[in-house]
Amino acid sequence: MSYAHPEVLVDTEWMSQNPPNENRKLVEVDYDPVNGYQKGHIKDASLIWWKRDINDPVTRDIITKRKFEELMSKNGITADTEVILYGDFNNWFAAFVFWVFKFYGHENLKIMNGGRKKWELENKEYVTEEPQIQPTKYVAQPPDEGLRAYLFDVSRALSKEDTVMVDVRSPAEFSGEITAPPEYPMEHAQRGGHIPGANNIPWATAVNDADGTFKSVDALKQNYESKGITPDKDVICYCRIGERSSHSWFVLKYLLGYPKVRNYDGSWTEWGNMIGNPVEK
Amino acid sequence: MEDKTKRGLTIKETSIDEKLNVKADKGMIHDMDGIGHWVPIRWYFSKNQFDLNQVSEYAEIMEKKYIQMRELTCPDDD
Repeated sequence: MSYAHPEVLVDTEWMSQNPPNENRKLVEVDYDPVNGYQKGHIKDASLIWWKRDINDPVTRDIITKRKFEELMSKNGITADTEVILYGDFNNWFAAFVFWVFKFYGHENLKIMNGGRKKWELENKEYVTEEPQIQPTKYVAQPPDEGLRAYLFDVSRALSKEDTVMVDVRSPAEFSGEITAPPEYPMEHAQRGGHIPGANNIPWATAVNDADGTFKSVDALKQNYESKGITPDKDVICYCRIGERSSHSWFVLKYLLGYPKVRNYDGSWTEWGNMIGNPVEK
Repeated sequence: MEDKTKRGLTIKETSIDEKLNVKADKGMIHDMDGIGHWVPIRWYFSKNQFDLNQVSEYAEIMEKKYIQMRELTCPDDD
């Protein structure tokens, strides 16, 4: 059995045989471009720096439609361009950018399965030269708010049987033992635990540990359905800052074809810090 | 010598800390922009090269740095 939307994935071998061209752009999305893209990237890939390029510098929000259009133009992308995303940290941030691209209506969009991890495991070539890019004039679609859950959506979901919450963080974060690993001292919350009623299905359960590629349809179905996350439900995914949850959002929406899946990008750093929010441990 | 503010941090490599020229366990901390920075977690001072007084000096420098940081963020009322 194949994925519900196999067209959203390419593998590393295909990528090495089908380099970027005028109609196909390759974009590396990094959380840490100093230790990623700048040290080496796939030839002709441009860079989206998650923190600087996709987040609003003033408010805690994703960039506006106008800023998104500027970003796409800067990366030489038009509305018809085939865009392939890959990145560091098991493609978490590439998945977040996939979600933002879909939020603003970009159609022809794919993820390179396994990201930097698999490319490096296969000893494939990196370069340090950055591509020369001819800017374009990109016009985005109105935001698709159906892909995004806000704080009030999650609050409302607490009393709704048909909305299920998927907490994709580690079991230690879910139980409240830690609020963030010591590597990320900027991402803590005032309280540990999880949103009441949430199911803990860590993002990592959707990938093959060896190379970071997605598991088979059957394995993914078993992973989610056994915890009550079924296609007839309204699903909201969350993590700590919304990047791992966009990875699981991608799995549920595009690999399993669930019709209603939203990413709560405010995630635990919003819920766990907000006065008055209930927390379960 | 161990920096207890780095407790729990995963050791990613053991190599020479160039500042003290001592072998050290190192981990990575990501800043507000997501950039990872190598930080020493614990240092292995060789008994052949260092005595306790020298190590204590380094420990006091580390302690002083954290007192300064605490004063910047949560100064005492007096």
